[in-house]
Amino acid sequence: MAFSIRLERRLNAPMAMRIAVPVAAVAGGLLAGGVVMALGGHDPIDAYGSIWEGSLGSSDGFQSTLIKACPLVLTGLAVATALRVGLWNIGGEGQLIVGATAATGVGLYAASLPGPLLLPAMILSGCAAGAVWAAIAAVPRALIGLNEIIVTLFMNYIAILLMDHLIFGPWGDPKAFGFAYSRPLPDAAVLPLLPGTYVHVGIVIALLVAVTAWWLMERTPWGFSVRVSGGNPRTAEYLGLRISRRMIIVLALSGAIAGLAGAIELTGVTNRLQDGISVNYGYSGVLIAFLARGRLLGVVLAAFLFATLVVGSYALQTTGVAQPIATIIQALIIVFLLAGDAALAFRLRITRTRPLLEPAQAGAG
Amino acid sequence: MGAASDPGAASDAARGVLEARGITKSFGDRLANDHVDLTVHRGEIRALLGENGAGKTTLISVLCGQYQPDGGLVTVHGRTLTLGSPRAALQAGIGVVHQDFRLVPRFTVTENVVLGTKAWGGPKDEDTVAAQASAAGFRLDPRAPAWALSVGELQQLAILKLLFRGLEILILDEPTAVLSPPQAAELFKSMRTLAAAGKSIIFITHRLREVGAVASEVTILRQGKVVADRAVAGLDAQQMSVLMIGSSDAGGRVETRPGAAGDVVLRLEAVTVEGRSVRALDDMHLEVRRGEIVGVAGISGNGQTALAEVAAGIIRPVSGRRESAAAAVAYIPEDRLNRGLVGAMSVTDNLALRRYTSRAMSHPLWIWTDRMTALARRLIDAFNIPVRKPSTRVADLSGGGLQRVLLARELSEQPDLIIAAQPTRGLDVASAAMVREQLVRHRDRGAGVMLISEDLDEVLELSDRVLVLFKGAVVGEYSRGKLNRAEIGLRMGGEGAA
Ligand SMILES: Nc1ncnc2c1ncn2[C@@H]1O[C@H](COP(=O)(O)OP(=O)(O)OP(=O)(O)O)[C@@H](O)[C@H]1O
Ligand SMILES: [Mg+2]
Repeated sequence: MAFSIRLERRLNAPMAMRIAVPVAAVAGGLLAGGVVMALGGHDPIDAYGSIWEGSLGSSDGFQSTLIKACPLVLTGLAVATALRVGLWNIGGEGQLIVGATAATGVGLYAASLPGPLLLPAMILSGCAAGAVWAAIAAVPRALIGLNEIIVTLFMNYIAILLMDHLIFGPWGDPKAFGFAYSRPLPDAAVLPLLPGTYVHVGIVIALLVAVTAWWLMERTPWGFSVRVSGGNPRTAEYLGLRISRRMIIVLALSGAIAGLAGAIELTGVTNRLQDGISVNYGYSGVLIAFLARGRLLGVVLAAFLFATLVVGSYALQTTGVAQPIATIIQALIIVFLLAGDAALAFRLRITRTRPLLEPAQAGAG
Repeated sequence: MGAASDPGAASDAARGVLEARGITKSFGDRLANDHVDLTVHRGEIRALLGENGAGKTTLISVLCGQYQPDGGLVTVHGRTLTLGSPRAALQAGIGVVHQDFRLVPRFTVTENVVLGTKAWGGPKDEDTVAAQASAAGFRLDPRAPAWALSVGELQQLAILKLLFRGLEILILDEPTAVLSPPQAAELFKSMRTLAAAGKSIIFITHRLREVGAVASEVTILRQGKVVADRAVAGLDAQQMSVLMIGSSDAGGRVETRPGAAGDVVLRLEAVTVEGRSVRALDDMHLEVRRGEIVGVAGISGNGQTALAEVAAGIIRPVSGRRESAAAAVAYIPEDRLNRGLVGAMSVTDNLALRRYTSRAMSHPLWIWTDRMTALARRLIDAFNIPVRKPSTRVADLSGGGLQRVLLARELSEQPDLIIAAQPTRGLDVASAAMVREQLVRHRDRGAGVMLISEDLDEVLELSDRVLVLFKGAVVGEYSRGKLNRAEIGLRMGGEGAA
């Protein structure tokens, strides 16, 4: 008797599975990570203890996770928003960087603005810069069909070069001897903290943006028309919708969200423009949107999970585990989550190839 | 019902080439196939009939390994087939021509044929392809690029792909839906040639006349169950449709009182549209008045698509003018899933595509999704859309289901002008009758209707005026009462003096 194993698309996974599978995936990733650590000569139990302590299990750890989640929620939202009109914004990284850069420019050159005006001006300029950066890819995409993935990606490199030019040149800090730092920003340019914590208010802004994006895309007629345009451009045309205009607006909005992430990182975390302002936040956003299956509110959850992993792996490194191993564990969990996602969409079927009925019997009826 | 399908003696000669027993497949809580038995013998042409959503496509998807059934058994030449494996089905000799053909436009006929096999499409393969084509009665140039072929030829190419692989059991899903009557007749001739050469053919259709014309056996499905499995001889179209529907109120001919034409609601003046190589429309003049149905007869590929899209106001002509007095235009495009629906969105969303901005559904800052759902439930009921939950993705509907979503949306309002391109294609008899009734009802209400159809009977039955379209121009116009079927047929083929 032979068996065959195959994958089949599943229509609707039951609710219990939709919860159980990601949980099992995280557990599986942790287990596999434990093996890796044991092989590397570390005690997995200790190591996981420090991950827990460093990310969720302590007040400090939790606050760090919240801080880390802020840019990730935003870059994830940027990608998921662009997906509504059928476009892949791989340029969150660059949009974040130009957002931070523009905000720095305002902070340095309009420092005389009264305090309550300076911060909003910086943040808005960050959004605007991100929007413009994305629009540079959106316009040729909308008008002549130039692939937005490639253009947004290339714009990332240009953004990094632009920032480097400024921090090594005109905006450089003479006191930072060769470090890639801009001059520090004035005190009025620092984002306030949530009372009683050292978490800046960025996370609240990010959550508000998530709800707003959901409302705009899922609950307004305009958002509906955007989803129609993304879902089937030929049907949008049939309905007389102007697709190119929607593409440009939505990709610019997406860029503005990533630019906002940059301005918030700048004013909430680094307080000056520096080379490491984005730790691949833009690219992580693509992964987060993917994990969330493009759902806007799902992005918030996925980003928190991602932030927990990142912060946890920092904590792990402070206990002496080498950074590559910490990164491997992070990657393992994500791979398991992606596999779990596939497991939800498909199901394994194991079938006996031997018939339940003998052919002769079937023939005889 | 198992006993009803007793195939008799179990000797090798009497046994079918393909025998499916107890095939069961559900989608969520919908039982699309319920213990279906199907037997096909060598050299047999078997028609598979059933209303929209009866489970025909599901059944053949199981046979060709695309779906894993929940239960059942398939044997080919007495050997058990591994279910749910497209490769196993191919190896067993089962091949399907899907309605959308799935060909590569830039490849030549030969390249398309050999794609996926070990052959690479050299001169020797070209010879093989040419030989197989002529043996089947196809007139196909093995070196012609696929994009240059007509629909009928594309269909031949898709069948040729199966023949090249030496497959013995050919399954054709609604092959005639896209063909004009002469093209269909040609296809039937080839089918008979292939059957005579020992191939077994299963073919799905909604045109009951075709069953008698080409099939010897028929299996009829109703709501996923086999309700008939017998010889075609002695079964007329009326009986077939009773079996399909389960009652005798099969919609027949629509009562066709002449309409009372009123003001002009659409005027095309000297409209020209460029096509790929020739002009899609060439200096076209046309008027549609309120209260009349203008039938546009013609073989597909003579400018129908361009005409529909210009008339509906979706594309602009390169020269000439479109004037329309209509406040609301309904347009039923030929290619529903790709133009008119959004596959990844729900039935609810698709039904609301024309209304989501209306006051009743939304204001600029908020859509009431519950109102959209209520509308959807109403339309699902009124138009018998075969779907349980309004939140189902439209892409998961059966062929006829898609169609009804579109018709429900377009015809449930009060349009002044209706452009209907092949509106009954792919619909079962009862649904087709419903659509025709709807068109007449809207005409009587005062809408102008343009009915573009390859089905000459349909055009003649409904139209107050018939135009014949050939190579992008009107080559004949007939008013009701002066219709001459033979002459119109000639004009459609480009013959007959003007
Ligand atoms: N992939 C799917 N997911 C969910 N439901 C499906 C899927 N495919 C088919 N169905 C449902 O199963 C039923 C049978 O569908 P099927 O496509 O087999 O009908 P059909 O007889 O081919 O109809 P038609 O004449 O309209 O093409 C329908 O109710 C359909 O909505
Ligand atoms: Mg079908």
